[in-house]
Amino acid sequence: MVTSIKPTLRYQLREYLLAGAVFVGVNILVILMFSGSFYISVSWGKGVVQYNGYGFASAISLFVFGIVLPRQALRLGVQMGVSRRTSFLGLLVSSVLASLLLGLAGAVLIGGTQALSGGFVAVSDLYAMIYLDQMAFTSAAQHLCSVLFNATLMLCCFAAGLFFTFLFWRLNKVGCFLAGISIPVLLTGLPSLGYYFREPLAPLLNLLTDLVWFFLSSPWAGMLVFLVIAAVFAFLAWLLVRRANIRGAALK
Amino acid sequence: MQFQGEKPIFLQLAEQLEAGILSGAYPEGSQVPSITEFAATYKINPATALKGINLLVNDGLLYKKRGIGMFVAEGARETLRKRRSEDFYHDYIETLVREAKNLGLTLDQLIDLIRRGFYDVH
Amino acid sequence: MSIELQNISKTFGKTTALDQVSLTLEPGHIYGLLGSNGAGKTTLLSILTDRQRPDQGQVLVDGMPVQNNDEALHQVFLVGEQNFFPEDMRVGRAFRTMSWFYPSFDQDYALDLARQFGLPLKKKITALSTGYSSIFRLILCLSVNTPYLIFDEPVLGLDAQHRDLFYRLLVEKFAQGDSTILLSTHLISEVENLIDHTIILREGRVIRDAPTEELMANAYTVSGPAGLVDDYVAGRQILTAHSLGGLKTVCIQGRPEGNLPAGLEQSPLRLQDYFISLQEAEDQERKEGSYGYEH
Repeated sequence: MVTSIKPTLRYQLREYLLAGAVFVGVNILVILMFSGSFYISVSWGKGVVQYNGYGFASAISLFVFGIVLPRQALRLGVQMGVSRRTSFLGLLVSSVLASLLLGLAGAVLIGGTQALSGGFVAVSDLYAMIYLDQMAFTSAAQHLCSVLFNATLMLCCFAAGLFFTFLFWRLNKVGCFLAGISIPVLLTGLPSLGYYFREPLAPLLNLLTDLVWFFLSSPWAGMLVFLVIAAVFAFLAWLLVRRANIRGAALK
Repeated sequence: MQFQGEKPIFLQLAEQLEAGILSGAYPEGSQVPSITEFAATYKINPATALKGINLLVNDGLLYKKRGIGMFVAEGARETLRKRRSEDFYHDYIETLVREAKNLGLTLDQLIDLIRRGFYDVH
Repeated sequence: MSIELQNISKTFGKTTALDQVSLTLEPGHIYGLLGSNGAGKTTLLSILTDRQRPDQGQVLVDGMPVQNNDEALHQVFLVGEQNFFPEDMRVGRAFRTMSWFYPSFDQDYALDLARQFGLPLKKKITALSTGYSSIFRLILCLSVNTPYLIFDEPVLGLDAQHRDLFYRLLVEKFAQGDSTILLSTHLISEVENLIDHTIILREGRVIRDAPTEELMANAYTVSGPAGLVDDYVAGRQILTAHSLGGLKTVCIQGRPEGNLPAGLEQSPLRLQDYFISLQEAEDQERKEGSYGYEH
């Protein structure tokens, strides 16, 4: 069957790469600035500069991509004779590729600064913070884990963004408002409810605790959890969009 | 160029083409614009333009040279003049005579009127 | 390769936008999709291109259902009022992006048209005026060279000179023979000589679907003294009747056969006039519950 997946991917990846390049560039700039100022102002070459922002920032970035890119991609697709199924597939594929690329960039950043600065500047990430005893990376296997761990985290965030953007697309004004306030309400309310009802809800809470232990047990477990969450969000997003009415953006 | 709603468009186009041939705007042996050019200029469907042109082709006023285009046939002007003369008799002379008889004019009075018109009208 | 719309129905809440619409589009025609504002034209075209899903019915392009089918969707290019390009995309980039998705997109031709219309390539699509938005989109459609080209209100905001240029380009494109065109518009008088097949949509239903010539051969107006007119129209299907003093004009659905009785005149009927008469007749039918009326 003929599909338009190639031009779709070409367009979507280009959007990612542009934004991704800027993002990585900004990160490098920040690290340089931190290191430079710290070196000069405080330590005179002693101590260690810690930069842990990369993983967190890249996850947020992919979440934002998930909010912004899909509507744009689906709209353009619809004008260019690309079915929504192909556009959606393109979103999944390009987000995986982008996550891997950004993950790789992160590994280069970590390894590079470690090597170049002789340990003075340590860039670290979520993976190291959770699963390693020390912040510095010592083996290639750790780097690989870091790349994959961050990639799956980013994918998860992208899928969440994808879900939310389609949710707000489908809902009318009232629905959007309700959905909007429900997020902070749930975030604050659920833990409290969980604590209040901890007796009857014990099995559920135990399940959640088991899940968290599972997550913390090994980086591969963590990646699996991320992938599953991503898949769930992506599936729900597809359900939302498969029969949707795709309208153009408001003119001006 | 606008087409009025009186007659079918293809007929009006045919009439305009004939007028062009008669007046010498489209000389005999020369090429006339293509169907596309007619359609584009007059903002009409090419099928309509084709229909109008085919009327002239069927009457032997235009002919098609394969791969090149439409040309005005030799003798087209003469043919049209003859046809116009016939039409002239039906459209004008008969009406004129009928009206003259209605008004009670004699043949000589009618001829005097015609003579006067021949010199007055330009 | 034909396009078939089979029993398309679509409701929005309580309003029925489309009601059992069935149409077939064949290659080699310039179709006119006519209807008042709100008749359902744009909804129909959205469904044709899978931008919207119908509640009932399906669309087949070359025998293939259009849903989630890239190949089928690729045969049709639709431009309308809505903008589907990214907000920050500039005209020139949009042209280049078209080439990615449509190998048949004629980049040079598009650039030439942009020059002819005076469309600035560096401007953002969303920053264009209404007229130039329309020009941008009609250039896309004239340059894409897919088997079906659909223009939804192509001349919105265009001045007379540009409208003229557009119709000329449209005829030239059609004469090349590779594309079938559908014009959806409420500006009937401008396109009545271009469209060889007329589809009239009213309140979501197809009320006329025929070659334009056939449609116009089946309607005419007669005017004269009221008494004579009334005698003549007895037993005929009347669409509208208007009186100005003693002079009565009636629009009749049917073929004029033979000569009119003395004292009556047949007036020319153009597509726009016929369309208006048809709308009046339908309005009347709804009010009185019967089709056609006599004073």
